[in-house]
Parts: sequence; C-alpha cells; structure tokens
Amino acid sequence: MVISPAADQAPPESRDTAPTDDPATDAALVALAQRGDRAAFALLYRRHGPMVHAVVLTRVDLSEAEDITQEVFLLAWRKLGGLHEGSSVGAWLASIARSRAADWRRSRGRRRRHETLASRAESTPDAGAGAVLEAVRTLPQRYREALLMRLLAGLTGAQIAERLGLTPGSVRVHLHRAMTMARARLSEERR
Amino acid sequence: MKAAERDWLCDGVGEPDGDERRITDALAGTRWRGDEAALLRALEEDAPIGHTHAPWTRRAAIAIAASATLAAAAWLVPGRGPATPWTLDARGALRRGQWITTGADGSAELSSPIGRVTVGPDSRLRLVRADKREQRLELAEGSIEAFIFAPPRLFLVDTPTATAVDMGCAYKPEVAPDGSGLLRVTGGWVELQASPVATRVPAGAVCRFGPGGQLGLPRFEDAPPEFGAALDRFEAGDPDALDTLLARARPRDSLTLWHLLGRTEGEARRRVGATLANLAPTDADVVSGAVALEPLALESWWERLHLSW
Repeated sequence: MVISPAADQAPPESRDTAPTDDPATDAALVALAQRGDRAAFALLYRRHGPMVHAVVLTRVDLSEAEDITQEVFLLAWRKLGGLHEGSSVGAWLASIARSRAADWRRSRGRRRRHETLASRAESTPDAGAGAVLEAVRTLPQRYREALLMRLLAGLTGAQIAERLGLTPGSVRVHLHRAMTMARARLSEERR
Repeated sequence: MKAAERDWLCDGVGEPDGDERRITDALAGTRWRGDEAALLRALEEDAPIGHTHAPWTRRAAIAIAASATLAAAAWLVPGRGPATPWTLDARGALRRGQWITTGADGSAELSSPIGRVTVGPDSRLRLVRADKREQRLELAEGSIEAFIFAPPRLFLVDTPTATAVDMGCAYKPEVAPDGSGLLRVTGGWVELQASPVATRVPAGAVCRFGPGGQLGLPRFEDAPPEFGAALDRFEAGDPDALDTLLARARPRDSLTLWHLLGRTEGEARRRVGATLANLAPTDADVVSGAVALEPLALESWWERLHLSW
C-alpha cells in the first residue's frame, strides 16, 4: 500500500468555514443516517447539538432546553428520510428546533415529558446567566438566535448565516445590534 | 465600532471587549451538555420509524451485497478471548485477539454500541481490548474508517508507530507495510500519540506518521500547496523550510504553527510564536508563555484557535 503525502493529493476545494460547518461531512453523515446508521446520526448530534440548544434556549427556560433539544433530534431521526439536501441539515435542524420549542411553550404544563429524557436537577442557571438569558429573550427573535448561536454554540457569522438563511453581512449587523441591545438591557438592570 | 470587536463578535477573531467577555462568561454554565447515551436509547426504541427511510428491498439488497463482499474477501483467525460487544457483519460477536484480514477487494464492518468501524481492502486488524474503560483496536496494515460516539479517550487504535485516541469523531487511519501512515479526520478530532509526542488532528486535517515512530505535524487538507510543500521539507529535516512555512501560513494554518511551537527551539520557536500571534492574536502573556512551552498558555491559545477553524 502506498501512502500519498498530502502535497501529492488532488487539490482540495477551498474552504473558508470551520470544520463543524463542513457541508460535505454533513451530507455524508446524513446519507448514512438515512440508511439507519445511528452512529452517523450521533455525529450529527454532536456537530449540531450546541446550535440546536441555542435556538431552543431563545424560546424556553434552561431547565427545559436540554430535553427539548433531545426531542428535536429524535424528531429529526424520524423525519430524516424527507431531507433531500444533506448539506443543509444545520438549517433544517434549526427549523425543527424553532417549531418544537414553540410547541413546547404552547403545551407547557399540560404535557408529560418523555420518560427517557428526564430533565436534570442542576440545570437551573445562576443569577448572572439568568439575567443575561432574560435580557437576550427581550431581543427580536432573529437577533436572539444569532447572538446565542455565536456565544453558546461558537458558530461564526458565516455559519449562522447558513442556519438562518441570511447573508453574512446581515448576520454581522444582527450580531452587533443584538449585542448593543443586550448591553443596554443589562446596564438598565444594574441601575 | 472597532475592527477588532467586529471581528470577534462575527468571526471569532481578535478579542472580545469587556461586556462581551462578561456576557459570554455568564452564559458558560448554560452551554449544551448533550446526552448521547439517552439519545441512542431513544433511537433504539424508535427503530421501526427510523427504518422506514429506506425501502426494505433496498435495505435487503445492501445487506446481501455486503455479505457477498465479506464472504469473498475477509477471513477470521479464531480468537481465544471472551466475546465482546463488537460484532462483525452477520458473523456475530468478535473476540478479543481475533484478527480480521481483508483481501484486495475486501472490506468488513464492525459495529458496537460505541460506533462503527469499516475495514478497508488489504487490511489486518484485531481487537485488543473491549471493556468499560477502553475499547482498543490494533491496525497492523491497511486502513479503517471509524465513526465513534463514545466519550473522549475511550476508543483507541494502535498502529505500529502511533496510537489514535478518539476525542469524538470520524476518522480514517491508513498504515503502510513499513508502519508509516496517514491519519485523516472527517469529524470531531483525534489525538495521535507516539510517546512522548502527541498531535491533535481536527476535522478537515491530516497528519502523517513515520515508520520510526516520528509524528508529523497536522495540516488542513486545504492548505496552500506552497505551505504543504514547505511542511514536507521541514518534516524531512530541512530547517530552511521554516521561512516559507511561516510566510505562507494562513490563519487556518495556526493548527500547524501551534504544534510547531513544540517542535522548534530558540529563535526558530520565537519566530513561530510571533507568526502565530499575527495570524491568531491573543494576550501577550499567553504568547510569551506558549513560546516558553508553558502548558497553561498553550492550552489557552489552543482554546481560542480551535474556535476559528
């Protein structure tokens, strides 16, 4: 067997985004998962879990967000056959997260949670985190999502743009307006 | 609005200002923790629904094709150890110590609750250990492709010269008959160890290892050709290649430069640190600490770097 040094390999496609946003890997994992490969789906869970959690957290309390994130992925597993563009799985998961979190809010208090996805006792935020989350939740929806995708999931502006279906320039504006508004809210609270 | 602030908030480059740092720090405890085991249990219970993705005829055809490939090209050497959670296609549980050998057109697929391993053609692989503390394979020759969702450091693959430690990922190690090889990571990241050196290889990157146990430096596969050629020369022992390496590095090649800190000395290391600081700015004390190879400074810089790749 011959090992080809990297310099001798075919020129790879140029890529400006972080590895977690690699559409080719997403597409390959989706194709495997669509054939019932749970290991591949678990990798999608790892890659996109922080982003889905951030989207969910813009709409529900922290104590519920982990459970709902799990439900989003369970729902995604069931619906995966209907996803035609595997490379868009991030945006697709974000849309499921929005819908699931909205459902959860509507039915809160009237529905028993899935037994295998019990909430964790330690998921109550401390005072600092609670204040920040409250401030973030007063922002317009798009601003909230962009800000938490950036601060909690560590996505870049370009990655957020893909998830939200916006241009990178719009996301840049969203992020800065969101941060300015969050600062103002928190500063009002401190007075 | 300052340029550095704009870069950090949108692109993760540069430094957050005081408020941004405070807000980010306050949110640290709210980050997603995930529970893969719970998800996988739920998927197991949900199997009938998940399986509706592919028509049964197609699934049957895939299964038959896989069995035929395996029958034609894979041989098993009986092992003496106890049965383990790893199964080999339809042949049942794999035993500890059991070798799998594939022919020129062969392949085989191992699966367990922690993931799946596809054994490539002309490969020789055995299961060394499989318990709660460690799942370890030995790849003597050939290639495997691993999708692993175990906790970090549970799954390891020994090659004749290095050990690939899974940190949550998908990857493909290849081993030549002389023991040299290449690790290609497609998801998450892997730590490649050849005592006393360890190399961190994230998704999109590759790292070579030599027949004598020497580890190469990780590089992104989309690195500029000039950078790749200079790295080849540097790894082959040409110190003059450092000039080109530093001149051609992009911010994304900070992966390589971060590792290069530990492979250079004196003035060369200071130059690497200065170039790295230009490409991926951080606090001055972190830069000076990293150039002195202080573990905390190196880790601090790494934490910032990997968010930008």
